Formats: sequence, structure tokens, C-alpha cells
Amino acid sequence: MTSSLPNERSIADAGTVGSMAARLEVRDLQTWFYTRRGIVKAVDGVSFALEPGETLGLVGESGSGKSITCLSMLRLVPEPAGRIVGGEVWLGDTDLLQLSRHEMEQVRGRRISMVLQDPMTSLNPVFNVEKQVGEGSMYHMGLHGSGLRDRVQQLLRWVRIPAPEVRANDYPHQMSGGMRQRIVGAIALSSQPSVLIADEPTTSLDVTIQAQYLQLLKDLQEEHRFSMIFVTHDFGIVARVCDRVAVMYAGKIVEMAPTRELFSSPRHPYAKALIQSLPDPDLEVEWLTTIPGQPPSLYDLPQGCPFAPRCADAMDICTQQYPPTFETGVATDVSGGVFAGGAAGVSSGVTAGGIGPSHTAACWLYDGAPR
Amino acid sequence: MMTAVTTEPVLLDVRHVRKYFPVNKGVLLRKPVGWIKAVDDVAFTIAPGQTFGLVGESGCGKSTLAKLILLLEPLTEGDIMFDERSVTGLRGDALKNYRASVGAVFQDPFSSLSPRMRVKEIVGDPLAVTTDTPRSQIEARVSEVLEQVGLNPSTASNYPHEFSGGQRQRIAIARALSASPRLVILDEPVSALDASIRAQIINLLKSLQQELGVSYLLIAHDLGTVRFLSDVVGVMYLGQLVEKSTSREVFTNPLHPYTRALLSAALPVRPDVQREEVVISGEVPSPLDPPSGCRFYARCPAAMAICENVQPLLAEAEDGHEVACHLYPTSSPAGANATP
Repeated sequence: MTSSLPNERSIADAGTVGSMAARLEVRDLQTWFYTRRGIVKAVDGVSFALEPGETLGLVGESGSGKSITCLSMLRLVPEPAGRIVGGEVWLGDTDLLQLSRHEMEQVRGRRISMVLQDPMTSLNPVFNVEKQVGEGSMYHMGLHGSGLRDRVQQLLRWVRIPAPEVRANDYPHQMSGGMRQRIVGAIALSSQPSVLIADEPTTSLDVTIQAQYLQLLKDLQEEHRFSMIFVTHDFGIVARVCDRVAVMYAGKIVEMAPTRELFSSPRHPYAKALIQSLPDPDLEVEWLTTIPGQPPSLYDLPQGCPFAPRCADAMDICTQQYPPTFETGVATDVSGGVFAGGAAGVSSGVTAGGIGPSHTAACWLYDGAPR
Repeated sequence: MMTAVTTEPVLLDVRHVRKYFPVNKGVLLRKPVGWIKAVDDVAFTIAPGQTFGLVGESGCGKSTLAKLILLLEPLTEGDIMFDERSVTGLRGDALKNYRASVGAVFQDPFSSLSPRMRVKEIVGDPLAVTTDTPRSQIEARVSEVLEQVGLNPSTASNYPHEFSGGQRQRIAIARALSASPRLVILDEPVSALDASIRAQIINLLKSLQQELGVSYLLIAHDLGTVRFLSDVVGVMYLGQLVEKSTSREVFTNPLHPYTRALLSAALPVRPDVQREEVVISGEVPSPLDPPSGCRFYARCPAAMAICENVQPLLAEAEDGHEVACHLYPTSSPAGANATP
């Protein structure tokens, strides 16, 4: 795939709205749901930073809190059941959680956009493509008439829709799944956001189409220099597109590492077991490594570390107290033994900022105590 | 586990099966205006105790094929032999016996189990419907299979909603096995499950096969699962088998350009494994009026002149490795000229 033409770039720059590169930082985010059965701490103390141009993977099983983390950043948590009860979301020097409803509307879709899982449900079947792709440009850039039409066609070209002047009049059902998801991408890019959140964008696509779409996202990121949060449960996708990965379990980030590091020397026993349990198309093995038990119910989480009941390395303290996040140091040692060097307690808040090769895990194995 | 491709006894023999769905137009006088060729001349065999893995993208006909074998849809053409007897004309007891011999596990354990039935009813149902097993023995058999799939038989009186996704899939597996089938069709058995549960279920399927000697037809898009469970793998594209060989051959020595693209797109599990990157352009063409030559022609990076008009035949290109592609002379019908 080729990069966009130079004259297109200049049109874009003329009409740019939100595209100042900005650092995103989430601090101790807590989003709870108040239900009849009790309080569900869907997101419970999540902290991470996203540098301009970086791609961060957010992986975890269903119910681990990855999607709610993203919805919280956009302040789209379904109310009144769900409430952001604590934390900060800094985009540049603004805390999004302190903005008024109206101010937030200037951020949503403009500085942070989102691509959802299923284009069949995220596109409106009764409006044509032009109307839906143009809505953001109309609202945020004040475009209308032929200016808006040109803008829509430019956006469609960005996402490699052939014959955009014809396709703009199509309705979603006239397009294939892969093309629909590219339309969703065009909508997300329409005001050139600095952060794009992609929530399982390829789950509903076939594998060969998935490969095309991931390639497109990577190309677009290079052309338009946004940073990306990639929510997925698929480690294969993580390996392909992410610079860094945060692994979530039961509402908390349990491990954060550069992608290669995570695969070559996972620290948290959950991440370790999960990576080992993947059936690998490149290998023939007799049996797969399994993780015993089930993911916990968020209604009654066990005391201490929620993974402890399934953990092969669980100790007494694990069932009593949730571990803080420890810096485990980047090791090239892949021996698989328990790594205990360089462990200095870092409070569960934000770890040393910056994109540096930090590898953290919320696990008592790394508290530095002699064992 | 066998790895050789059939000179062995055959349990299921799918013989040049076709399934066309009519496309009708008009409100009162509905006229057929075309056919969707969902399955178009597919042939393969499954030996006793063997797993045949079927891979391909959505719409390629995998699930239609499963429905044909389960007799949920009539064949348009061809035949399916089970234990050397055709299953298409079965009636009465013979049909019941066949239904008892073939079990099925579907993708979503939330929609495939009736919420109004207790586990023992769900699991005992195939026995009650397809066999004359007395009620007292059904309960004993239910306890037995529940234990085999790793569930506590004391939960037999519970309802499906009381179980997690992984446990529900175990119930679905128990149901498929209760009438002691010889073939089980697994249609995406783990893709709806959480990652940390998948390996448990995949291992369970494998150990059950070793214990019971049952054959599997595995339909899955996760190639890791297919490689792990399958002895023989068939790759489907737009209603046709384009490649077929042992699991190891297909994964280490893929011959068809589509198989190569599929393997490349399957994404590395580990970032340190470098893979040949084949990103194919375009999308799967409509099975309504598929292209006349090779169906992969328009997307194929290695397409030649002959591919546009002459349909390649599935033929043995290497020892025990069949492929339908003009890159291999065995696929081109006599007289056709395969020049690049």
C-alpha cells in the first residue's frame, strides 16, 4: 500500500482540527458498576501512559476491564449503573475527567476517536456512507456542501476505498465486512485525532481481510501520526501491531512490557501461563499447557490477588494482599526461572514515565524478598 | 494417531458432494435466477480415530458441509458414505442409528444449550431420541459422560446458566458423546471461549479421542488449534477443497497460494518467529456465479493465463499431498497449457 499523495496531505493540513500530538496518561482509573447483586469493580486502579505515535496493546479475557477502560477515557461508561469513581485521564495538559459535558464533546471524536468491533452495528443502516463519514467533519470542522463532499472522498481515499465518488453514495449493506470496517476507520480519522482507540477492530473479519486491515491501520498511523490503543484478546495481533502491551486480569493491569519482552520473558504467572497455553501453528506438541480453573466472578473477587486460586506460584501473602506493581527490569534472560533481580517497589501509581524499557508486574514474586 | 492418508479403513467418505442454494426473484412467481454454489464438488475421507481439520474463511462452505453430513440439509449432488453405506436414503431405525453415530459440538455454548433443560436432560437427549436405552440407564450414562468431560455428575440437575462458558462447552461435548458416536463434528469448538479456558477444552477433546477412538471433523479458523488436533487438513476456498494433506505437510510445506496467504495471515503467536508476509488483496468473490477458472484467480499473486479459464483439479502433486493449482502440472487437465 502506498502513502497518500502529497497534494492530499496539504488539503488535510489546511483543515486539521485535533491533530496536535499529545501524550495520554491514565492514572489510577476506577470505574465501578453499581448493580443489584453488588458493586462490580470493572476497572480498578488502572494506570498507563501512551506516548505520541505509540501503539499500546490492552489484552485480557472478556470481563477483564479492557473495553471499560477505553469507554472511561471517552467518558462513555453506561450511566447510571456505571460510574468513574476515581482517577485521572490526562490528554496533554487536560484532565478529561474534569471537563464539562460540552467540553468533552470537543474531545470525543476530535482528539480521541474509537473504532468498534462490529461495523455492522457501529454503522447506521439508514444513512449513506457520505452522511456518516462526513458527520464528524461537519460537526468539528464546520464543513458543508462541496467542501464536505471533497473531504469525505479524501477520507475514503485514505482508507483505500476504490472509486470513492461512487462509493460515497452507498449504504453499509452494499459493502463487504472489510470495506465497512474501513468506513468506520474513515469516520474515526475524520478530524485527525491524536489518539485512536481500536476495540477488537478485526474480530468480525476473516483472517486474510484482518491482515489487510491491520496493515492499513499501520500505514495510516505512519501517515497521520496518531497514537493507538489496541484492545484485543488475540496475542497474534499484539505481536503484529503493538509496541508495548498491558495485560489485564479482573479489572487491573497485571503486567506491562515492550511486546517482545512480554513474549520472550513474561513475568506475571497469568501472562506466562496464557502465552504458554496458546496453540502455536508453527509447533507440534503432545499437550497444551493449561491454566486450571475459571476467570473469577467480579461479584465476589477473592481477597488478595484474584489470580492466586489459579496460580502455580501462589504464596501465603497472595491470598491476603493485592501486590503493588513492581519494576522487574528488562531482562534478556529467557531461562523461565523466577526473576528476582532489580526489584524495587514502585507504588501502584504511575511507574517511571516515558517510553523507556520498563517492564512491570503486579505480583509478589517480584517484591525483591529473598526466597 | 495416524498420519498416513487413507489406505486404511474409512469411516466417513464424502464423495464429490455439491450443495447449491437457489436464488429466487419475484414475489408471487418466484423464479430461480441463479445458484449459490456453497459446496461445489468436495471429496475427502475420515478414517476411524482420525481428525480431519477443515480450514477456510467464512462463506467458504465449511459449515454447509457439516450440515450436509449431519443430514440437516439435503445434498444437491454426490454422496456421503458412512461405514460404507450411503446416508442419503436412510429411513427409520437406520436413520436413528446414523444420528446416534454422529455427534456435534457447536461454537457458542450459550446458544447451543436450551436454557429450559437441565444438564441431565440435555446430555441424555441424544440417547433418548436415537436409542431405546431405558430411562434408568440413561441417568447412569449421563453421569459417566459428565465425568469423562471433567464435570461433577452431582451437577446434573442444574441448568446451563449456572455454568461458566468453559463448563457449558463441556456439557455440549458430553451431549455429543452420550450416544457413543463414532464421528463428532466440531464446528469452531473453542472460538467463543476465553483464552485461558481454550487450552483446557482442546486438551480434553484430544484425550477423549485417545480414550474413545472417535473420529473428528474439526472446523476452525484458528490454525493453531487445527494444527494441534488434526491428522489431515483440508483447505477450502469458495466451496471447493484447494489443498489436502497431513497436518504437518500443510503447515510446513503449503503448496497452494491461498494456503500460503492464510498461513501468513494467521499471525505469528510469537513476535520472534519471522513469517513470509503474504497479504493478498481483494476479498472473497461471491459464490453466486463464481469465476469460471480457478476461483482464487483474481486474488492470486501467482496467477497465470490458464487460471482464468481452466479450473484446476485437486490432484496429488507431491507424495500424499493434494492441491488444486495450475502451478503443479498434476492439476491441469490433459491438453491444457500451463504457461506462465
